[in-house]
Amino acid sequence: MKLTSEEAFELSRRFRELSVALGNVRFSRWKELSPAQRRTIEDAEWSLLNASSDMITSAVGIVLDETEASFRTLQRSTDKAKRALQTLKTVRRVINVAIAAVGLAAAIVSRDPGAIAKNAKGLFDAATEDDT
Amino acid sequence: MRQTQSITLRIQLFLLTGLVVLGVGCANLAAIREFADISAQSAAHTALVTQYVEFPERQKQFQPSSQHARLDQMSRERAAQKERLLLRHALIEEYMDALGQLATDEPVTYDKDIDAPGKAIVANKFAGENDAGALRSVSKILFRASTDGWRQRKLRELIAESNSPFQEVVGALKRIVDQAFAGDTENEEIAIRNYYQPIILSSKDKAGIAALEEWRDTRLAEVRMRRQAITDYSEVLSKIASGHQKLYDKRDDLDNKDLLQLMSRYAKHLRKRFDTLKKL
Repeated sequence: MKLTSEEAFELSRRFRELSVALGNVRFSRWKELSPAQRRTIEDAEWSLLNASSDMITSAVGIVLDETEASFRTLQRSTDKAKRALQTLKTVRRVINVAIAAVGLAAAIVSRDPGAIAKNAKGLFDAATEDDT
Repeated sequence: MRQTQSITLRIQLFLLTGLVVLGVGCANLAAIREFADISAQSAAHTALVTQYVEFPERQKQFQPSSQHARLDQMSRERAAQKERLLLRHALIEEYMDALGQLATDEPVTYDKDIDAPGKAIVANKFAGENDAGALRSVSKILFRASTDGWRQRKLRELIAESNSPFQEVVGALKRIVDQAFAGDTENEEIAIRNYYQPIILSSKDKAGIAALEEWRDTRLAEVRMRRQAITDYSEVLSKIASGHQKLYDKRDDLDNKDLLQLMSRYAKHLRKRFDTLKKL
């Protein structure tokens, strides 16, 4: 039977509670119990406590498995964002922008509004072209 | 003088035309950057993972030797999970770092390259040195406006496509912190009690009992400090997830004043919580 992470965490809590309940009995009836009885209860307590910790370990593994697909998706998005940032830093883009800006500057000096608009668009395209 | 005024007017016209054509403006998203930076720093905090992996070894000092083989097995299993857990932290850190860089309002430093057109203008005798200087400034402004627009589009895309997996990944880490790491501290407290209580109950030496109780309380205080760190870290993760959700909800209006104020508050809260956490 395959457990979900929630079930594993729930089992961990149950084992812990049982271990605590046994401990409470052992300590509250300390004088009534023989050393052998104390030892038997104590062994069961440690065993239950470690079962609780084992369940925690299992639950963590299940949570990691359950969210592996989201982890991969986020990893791809992060890589894409990093490439976008790299794009922004690419010298090629800067050169393209510089070239486009020269055209725009020339259009401004020539006082040609049509050419200004066209070259401004060229500058924008050069700055925003996607080379990822 | 008239020539200078004419240049100024031409520059104003140029700026207006360019910005209208580009259809973008420079927005100050510093608050988003601030939120992303502190989130990235917080995600890099991995002390709790180390404590989780070392838990079985710490338990050995309280548990009888009959349990040590089982604890060794647990150690191996947790050590095998360590890398996957650290990768979660690293991914959240990298993601928030990328988000912060996309939100930055500072252009990447390529101003020197943008000086090229001004020089080219002079070289081609399109204008004199004064005009070229003015045009260089204008080119920088236009270039910045265009890259800002591009960044914001990329930022919107990143937030839109990442919110769902981001909430899943951060949510999973929070569940691990809340239930696994906190569960460990509860088991640790029980182990400490189980270790000291029988010795205390069997002892008839009052001074010895007092000393043992003091030792026990010191150990319990250490565990409670770890527990506090877990509570704080859980809150940090909640804030990161909630902040990202707000960005997602307002992704088409990222320079919204209310959103930026909220991000600034989130960043302050996170920084305060994270500073406390580092001291523990």
